[in-house]
Amino acid sequence: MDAEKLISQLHGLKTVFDDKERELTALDREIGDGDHGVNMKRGFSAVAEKVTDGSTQEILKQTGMTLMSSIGGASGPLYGFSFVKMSEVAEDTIDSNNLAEMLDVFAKTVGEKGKVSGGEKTMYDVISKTADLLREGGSLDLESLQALADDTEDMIATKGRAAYFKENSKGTIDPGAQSAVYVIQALGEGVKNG
Amino acid sequence: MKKLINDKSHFLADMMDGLKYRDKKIEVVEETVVVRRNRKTSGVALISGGGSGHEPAHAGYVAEGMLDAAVCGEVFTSPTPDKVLAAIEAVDNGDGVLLIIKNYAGDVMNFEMAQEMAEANGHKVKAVVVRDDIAIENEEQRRGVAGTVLVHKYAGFLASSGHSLNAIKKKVEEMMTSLHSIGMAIHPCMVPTTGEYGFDLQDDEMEIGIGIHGEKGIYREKAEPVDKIIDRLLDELSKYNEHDELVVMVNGMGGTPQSELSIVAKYTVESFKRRNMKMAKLLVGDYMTSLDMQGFSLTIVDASDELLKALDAETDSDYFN
Repeated sequence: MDAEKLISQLHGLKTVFDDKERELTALDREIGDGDHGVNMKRGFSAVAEKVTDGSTQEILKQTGMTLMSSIGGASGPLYGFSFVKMSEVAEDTIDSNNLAEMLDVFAKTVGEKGKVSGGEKTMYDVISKTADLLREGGSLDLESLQALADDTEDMIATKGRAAYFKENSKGTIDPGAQSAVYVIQALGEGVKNG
Repeated sequence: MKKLINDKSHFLADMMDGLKYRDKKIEVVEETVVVRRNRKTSGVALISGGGSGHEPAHAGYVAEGMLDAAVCGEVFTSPTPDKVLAAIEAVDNGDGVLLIIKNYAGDVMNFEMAQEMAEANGHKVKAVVVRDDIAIENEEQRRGVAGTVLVHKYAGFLASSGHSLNAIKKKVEEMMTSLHSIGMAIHPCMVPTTGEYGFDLQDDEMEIGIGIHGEKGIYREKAEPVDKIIDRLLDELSKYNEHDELVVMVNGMGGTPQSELSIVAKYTVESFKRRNMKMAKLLVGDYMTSLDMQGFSLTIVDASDELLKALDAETDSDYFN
């Protein structure tokens, strides 16, 4: 995935979050405060508007800064800071190995900033498994990623607003895990299709 | 959805413009940062903020004797680090800045990130995190709700009295050890940016332990007469305070008529009497709301002489009295 492809994948997320706004909002309404869809849509609309050229590293960094200053909430710093950190390991052309490296950084950043580890029903549960999935020859397609998000359905939240509901947070997919599916799908698709 | 708005994506921008027309004592910098027109030239600056939808919090408390700046996020969404940083840069006069943060993952992350950036630019910044909502058992996870407004007033008094940044942080943290709140709703709020109610509640039900973001409460019961509801909330609250004199705040959630808030006040006073608990001061009003939610919260805090003096001290906020 070269810079041009990376930009088109990131811009494509604007349309994805336009389509998925209601789905994410519905999940967030169950175990959060019902605005995750709106926030992700605002974030990637800003990316489509503001991030227009540069090297892969510059694009990822600018995307991170834009997300950080437009999403808000907890997702803003988590997605924003992660893209900034991923820019530090990205190569000029991102191949499958390099993407795995980026996804390791993505997981590490979310883990540290969000003070979260696996099994706590958060976006980390999707992100942290994708690097290995890729290294083991798996594909970052919607189906495999969705399976990771689906695993959060039966988890009990201990972090984020969903944690207030304790056992009652069971039965709903974590909205952050769901939005991570789309973000990583876009990156994976970019690498797969060159 | 019926709401008095033009375009849901302009909700925050339109509200900020309106605030400027309503309150001549404030100005807005960097689109969403409310500061005093007459900025302090000395003394610790106090900054709070968070998602919008809690009006008059926090912009209404940007006034002499209370806050120096309020950073307004989108509805129920923490503001971003760049805006918090802009607030710090706008109001720091060299005596340092105290950030008053409500305990939500997003607020804490965004404010702390701004704190790091400001410190790197040479500002002296400390933060206190308000966690007064006892509906959440785990103390570390407790949300910051209506009690935050009492923190604004107390810290504002301390800053006006010339205390240092470290002293204010220490005193506020001590005050917060006895600051406890719990809320309830009989009708959820309609979130204008999504067009949905925060949760669904049947006509004959009430939700206990609600937060201020339209999130569901901790449990749900058949609605009861208000004295029973107050007893239910005070049973919980009184587990946490042993001091014999308390400050009490009856806070409306935004859609509660003033008449009903007065009725809540009456039965709260009566319940105090029955329990032989002393009320050193009673505050009643819409201090920290959740859009148009119908319901109320009760906040209690141990009444120290200094706190009472702080609460009675003058402020030119239109919303604290």
